[in-house]
Parts: sequence; C-alpha cells; structure tokens
Amino acid sequence: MRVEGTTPLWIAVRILLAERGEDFFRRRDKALKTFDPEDIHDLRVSSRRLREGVALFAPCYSAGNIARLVRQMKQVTRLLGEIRNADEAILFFDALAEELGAGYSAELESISASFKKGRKKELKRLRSGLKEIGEDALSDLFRRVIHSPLLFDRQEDDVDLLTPLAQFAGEAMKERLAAVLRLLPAARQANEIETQHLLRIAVKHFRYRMEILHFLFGAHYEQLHEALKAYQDLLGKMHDLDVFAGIVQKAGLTYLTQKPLLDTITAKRGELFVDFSAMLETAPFEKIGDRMRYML
Amino acid sequence: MKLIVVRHAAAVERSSDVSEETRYLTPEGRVFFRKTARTMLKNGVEPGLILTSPLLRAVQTADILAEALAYSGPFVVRKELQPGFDMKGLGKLLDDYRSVDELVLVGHEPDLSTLVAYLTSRPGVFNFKKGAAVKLKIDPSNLPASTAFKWLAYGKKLVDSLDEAMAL
Repeated sequence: MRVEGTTPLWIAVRILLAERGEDFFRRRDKALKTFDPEDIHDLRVSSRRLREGVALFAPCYSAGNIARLVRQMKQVTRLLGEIRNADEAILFFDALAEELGAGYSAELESISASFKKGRKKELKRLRSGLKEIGEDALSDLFRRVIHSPLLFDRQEDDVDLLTPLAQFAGEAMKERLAAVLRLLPAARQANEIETQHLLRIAVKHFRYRMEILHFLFGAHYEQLHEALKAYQDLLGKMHDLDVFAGIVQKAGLTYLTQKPLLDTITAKRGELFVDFSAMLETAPFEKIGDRMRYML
Repeated sequence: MKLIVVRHAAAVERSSDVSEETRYLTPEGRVFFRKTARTMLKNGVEPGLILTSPLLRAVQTADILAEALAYSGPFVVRKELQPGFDMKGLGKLLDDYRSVDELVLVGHEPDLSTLVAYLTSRPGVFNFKKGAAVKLKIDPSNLPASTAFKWLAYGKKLVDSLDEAMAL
C-alpha cells in the first residue's frame, strides 16, 4: 500500500517503519552471510536510518516499548561502528604513508598495523554479535512494537494518530531543521570542532528523516537531498580528520615525527573547512529550510 | 469472496469533551471485542485486507482485530464506511478490492444490520450487536443472490445459523 500525505498517521507509521525494518533485516542477513566490509557498512547505515525512523515516530508509540527497541538497536549500531572506524583509519593512514613517503612510513604503518590487528578482534566480536541479532528476538520485538501504535488511552498531549501524516511530518521536519540551525552560528567558527561534530550528527538526522518522508517532498526532493548529503559527507570527513589527529597524538610518537603528521592533518582539515564555509554560502541551510517548508 | 463485517465495540458516549469522531472504546468494549477476535481467529479468519471507517472507535476495533489475528497486512480507511454506509458504498468497495479473497469491513450501525439483511435476503432488522462480526460468502457480481451466511461471532459465541444469529 502506498503511503501519502493524507494517510492517517496510525496506518502510515506501521508501513513506513515496516519498510525500514525490512531493509535492515535483509541487510543483516546478507552481512551475516558475507562479512564483507561494504555489507557491514550498508547494515550500519540501515540501522541508523531505522533508528531515525523509530525516533521520528516515537510519539506514536508507548514510551516503554520504544525505549526497549531503541536500546537493542543502539547495541547493533555500536557493534557495527567499531569495525567501520578501524576500516576508515586503516585507509587513511595507509594513504598518508604513501603521500608522505619514506620519512614517516614506519610510524604510519605501525599505526595502521595496530588497527589491522584490532580489526581482526572486532571481526570476531562482530561475528558473534551479528549471530545474536540474527536470531528472531529483535525482529519479533520490532514487529510487535511497530504494529502497536498508541490508539488507546490517549492523553491530552499525545499525538493524534488519526491526523494525516503530512501534518505530523511538517512538524517533525521543522524540529530537525531547528536543531541544525541552532548549531550553525557556532559551527561557522573554524575552531568550534565540537560544534561541527554536533552539526554533522544533526544534519545526518535531518537527512535520514527526509529520506523516510521523501514522497512528501515532490519534485525538488533530489536537489534538497543532494545538498544535505554533500554537507554530511564534508562534515564527516572533517570529523574523521579530528579522530585521526587524536590517534596520532596518542600513538606515542616523538615530537619530531608527531608534529609534521599533525600539521598535515590540520592542513587537510583547514581545506575542508574552507569548502564547508563556501557551501554555507552556496547552499545555505536557511534556504533549504524555506524550500522544505514550501514543499511540505 | 469472504466478506467479514464487524461492528465496532462499545464506545463512550458523545459529550461536550468527546466528539462523535473521537468516541473511543470503553475498557469493557475492548475486553469483549478481544474475545470476538479470538473466536474469529479460531475459526480461520485470515484477512487479505482490513477496511475501516475513519472514526476512532472503528479504527480501535480494527486495531484489536489485527493484533488478535497477528495481521500485519495493510489497513485502509474508507469514508464510505462511516455512518451512512449503504449498498452504493459497498459496491464501490467491492469494485476497488475485487481481487481480495478475504475482506474485513469495520463500520457502524444501523448500516451494517441493513447491509447483512440485504445480502442475506432477510427483510427486517438484523440486530448487529457492538463488537460482533458476521462472515458471509459472496459473489460480488451476483448480489445478493449468491450470498451465503457462514457465522456470527459475538464474544466467545459462534453462531452458524442465520435464524439464531437474527434472534441473538
């Protein structure tokens, strides 16, 4: 059944969450078979999308049920995150070793080797963890919860599940946009690394929410979505460099080795920040918000 | 086609705080309809689609039914099923869902009694109680002649004679 803006919320939530769930459980089964890094990454992204779907529609369900589901989903994302982080670090430090040449290759290869070793352990942990979530308990809980929206014992402040989806969606999107706009003034400052990290997370939530409700956005969806994706990619790369700088600082290197490595990372991050600042001019979030409000 | 007609369970009365559209099921109504739904489950009800009136008490009844039947298929809200539902409305629904093998309709009185009386070719008032369900076998292209009454579920009771069902 196709969900539209006029679909009552109590029907729409079941269908939209079931779609997210199907995607997640299908990818879980695939990752369990292959343990391919790309499949693991796809599963991680799918788990994040599913969590955003659950967050989006949480007001339509009992708080206790949602809390139980979210707890289990978080375990899955965490399980998948460690191995992905190791993969990213290996890729970065191997590339950096090649870029900087023989002078730093021993140190960088040593950092990379420690992640490769850690990755093997993570893979083992992931295998047993994935088997655990491969059992039916999580999918049963998921199905039970999503098919029980709060149609009974409504309190005055509860969401009215008989309202059309579009009405609920408009407010839900504004909420995510507001979270982005709140962080923006500080994130424009180059040294506000922590705020830029928070902005990356806020943009990610905004994007995933938009993806779940994509059919409500009409013809300009692709354009808006591309803009958000570009922000997320850029902010993601900036954050990765912050993480890599931290790794270099903790690697026990001599000052003479550490400093040029940190300088290189800082320079790369500086370039990305320039790109970020330019993006804020060419595709301002305020404009994205205006378009979104117009479309919804 | 198997057609299962359900009257919503007992709901609170309309008041200054509760509009007609938002009248909700009473705790007793919910408990009672769960029994009806379990009786339906025991008698092999497996809907391909559940259609409900947009009014809250019907939506809640449909939801209880889905839970009892472990139904995870689609729900469709149809305005035709709100009070005032008639044969024309039924015709429209049957046209739209001709391929569905087992169709559930959740609606209101007096429309559902009139509908069952018409389909079973029994003039007079069929007393469709709150939280009851009637299963019919129909051929949408040959109504009402083709209709066969299968049973009426009311709480734990299952009545498979139309006469007894009418007397209930």
